[in-house]
Amino acid sequence: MTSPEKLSQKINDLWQKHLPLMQSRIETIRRAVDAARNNRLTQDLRAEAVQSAHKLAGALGTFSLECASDDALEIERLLTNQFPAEDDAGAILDELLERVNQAINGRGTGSDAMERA
Amino acid sequence: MRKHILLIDDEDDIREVTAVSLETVAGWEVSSASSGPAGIELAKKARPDAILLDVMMPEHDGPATLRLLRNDEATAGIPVIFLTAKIQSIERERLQAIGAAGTLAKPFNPLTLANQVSEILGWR
Repeated sequence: MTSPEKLSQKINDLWQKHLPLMQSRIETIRRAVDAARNNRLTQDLRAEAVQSAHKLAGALGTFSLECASDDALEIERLLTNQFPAEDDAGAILDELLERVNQAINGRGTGSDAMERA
Repeated sequence: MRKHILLIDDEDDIREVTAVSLETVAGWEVSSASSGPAGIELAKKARPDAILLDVMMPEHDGPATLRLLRNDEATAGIPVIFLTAKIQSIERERLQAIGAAGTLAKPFNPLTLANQVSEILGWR
């Protein structure tokens, strides 16, 4: 097995190991969006959601999900700067969150998962 | 001689991907710590060839950790590269001005990370 193949295999193993962590970060953001929709968003939950989006942005790109990483970065920006002040921020966040969620749950584990390899 | 890298990052997933990347692609030895204080202690004992240091960490962030490393004779000379989210060039300059050898953006490509580290440190 060559170095890129070995690396791809090890990273796919790590992806499986950390998948629940990725999903829990999505859930944290979803809780914040839902809370804001019901005017119950606390500063602590907002900060936790911003941190979750930031961590997703860093991790997803490293696991070859570049588009999802960009979406997570946009989620972080919206949660930090605008949400929920702008009327359509909730709908945009829902859409971004769904895209990131689909990318996470649809990531393969074979050699195709390391697109850049 | 086999290079030894110390990685300081509070995120388990990033720490593990970084370690397997450097070990598998470059054959380097990688030690890791999940906080600034733990990383400083490890750096004093292990004297790594370089440190990869996350910028955003709770309590002691990257810049605070770098200052402590620079103020200790045992670790002052170890080159430090910051790992950080996509940043503006002005932020990159600020981090290098406080003593970093360079910065690497997260997310990174695990296949090319070792090359990027080598380029920054002149290990070619």
